[in-house]
Amino acid sequence: MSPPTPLTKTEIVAEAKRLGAVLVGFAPVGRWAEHGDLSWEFDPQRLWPLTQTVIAMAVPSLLPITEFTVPAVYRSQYTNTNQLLDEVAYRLSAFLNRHGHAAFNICRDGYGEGVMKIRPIAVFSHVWAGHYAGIGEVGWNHCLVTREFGPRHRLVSVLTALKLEGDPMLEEGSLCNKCLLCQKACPTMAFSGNPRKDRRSNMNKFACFSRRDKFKVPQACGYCLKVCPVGEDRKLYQSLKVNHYFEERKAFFAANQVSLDPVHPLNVKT
Amino acid sequence: MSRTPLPKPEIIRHARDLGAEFVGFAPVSRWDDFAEVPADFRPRAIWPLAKTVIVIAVPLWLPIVEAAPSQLGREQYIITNELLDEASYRLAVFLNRHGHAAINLPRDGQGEPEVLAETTTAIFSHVWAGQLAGLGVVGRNRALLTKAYGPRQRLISVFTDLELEGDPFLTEDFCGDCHDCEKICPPRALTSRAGQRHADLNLAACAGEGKRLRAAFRNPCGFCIKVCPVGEDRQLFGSTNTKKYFDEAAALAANPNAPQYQDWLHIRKYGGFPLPEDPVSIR
Repeated sequence: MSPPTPLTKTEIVAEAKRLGAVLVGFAPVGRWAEHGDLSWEFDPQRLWPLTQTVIAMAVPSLLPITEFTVPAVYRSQYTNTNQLLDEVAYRLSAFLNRHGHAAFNICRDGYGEGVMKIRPIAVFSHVWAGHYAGIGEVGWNHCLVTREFGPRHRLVSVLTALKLEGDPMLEEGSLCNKCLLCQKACPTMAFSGNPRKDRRSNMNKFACFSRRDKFKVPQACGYCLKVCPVGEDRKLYQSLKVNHYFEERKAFFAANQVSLDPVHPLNVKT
Repeated sequence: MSRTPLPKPEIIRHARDLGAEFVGFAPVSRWDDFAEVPADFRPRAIWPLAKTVIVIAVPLWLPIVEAAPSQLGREQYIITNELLDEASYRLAVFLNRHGHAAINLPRDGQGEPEVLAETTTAIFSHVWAGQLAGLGVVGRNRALLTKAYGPRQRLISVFTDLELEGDPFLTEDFCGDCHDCEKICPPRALTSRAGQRHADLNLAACAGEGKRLRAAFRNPCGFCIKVCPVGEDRQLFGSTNTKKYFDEAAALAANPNAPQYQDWLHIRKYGGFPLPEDPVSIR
């Protein structure tokens, strides 16, 4: 191994993009403690004490495929983007190590089959890493909302001992204006909270993961992603309206012979 | 397809571009010259046209390896395997496109641990290929040890009918006499007799442990590769005290929240199912 050779952010971003990353941001490790959104247990330095910078990367989930309700197509995009992210993050780590800067990648959120039901927390939050790296802000639906793709993307992170200047974080509320469409669309009613008081919803992860048990007619979920009005991708794909998602949702409930919950905000309103 | 010349530097550049970290070349005659590998498992027995074996390696990151058994370790294993399969396949296609017949051998092509426990042999040893291609030396633990990463890498090979000059063998033997791999192996699968260079490997015991961990989504085991003191990566990742692995069980039995082990315990806690040996703090 060669002694450390300098690497600029520009060079790291160029390599990440060459490998397939689309959004790339840098978060100095101090931001976790400074903002205090997560407990110390999920601080990058708890995971690896030498961490100085977290490099967050994202690749988009393409809107028309996210809108498709065909599980196999949706799933294939999910699997492919996951594999791409893991490869990009692994190879970016190799690039940093080759230059003498210790680095390793945390896989995109991975769980063994069934583990989510007993412990629905990943080893590291890529969503918050993306937030601190300025590539988006954590929205009402607990996803990272980005200017480019709204919440329609997948994330991965590289931890490195190399100190790098952080990217500016987004101003709070600059992307997610708490329109609550995600909360209204969620078939499992996983989101709740008071938008006037809370920065983001309370999310019942167990409700979210229960969708396969609740709905016997298979349909890809992703309502909280496709319904989000934020994202330049909406214009690109000429998909600006969201009403039809709610029509689809009604049909989905009917096909499953599950009645729409009377206390659900959408049903109270209509 | 016409045969166009392909010098070694061009093949190396292409392999690196595909994700290979280390690339080595071994003429197939070396298998006969050194005879460590049984005749049935030499390149020409597998594919008679083979003239050169190109061996590719990608490293495993120590902070993940040493936290094993964990789901993060399993994901590292999966992604490096996928990367190797893709890189070697595409390198074979690159050679074919230039008119040089080539095939990629799958990395340890055993399928599931059950198969490994029964057949106990892969079609081809990438580990020995790595030594014959000058990338490293086979250590006591039967893994390939390299100067940069000790035994912490994954390997794959491409066979080609293109004749290429072999890389020089390493003259330095990194594997000392510490026997740490043998001492720490949880299923006690490594046993070396006096004067033996490489330990005997009880593959059924090794694979049995892999199977047990896989049921919790926390395979592979990897104690024999995390414990190895060889490798410049130990310095890079700031983890040079290998005694820490031996002290772990006693330290956690005395204090399940022993601060020096919290990073590893955190990694073990998420993504997989608990294991009986986990300290209460992460069950």
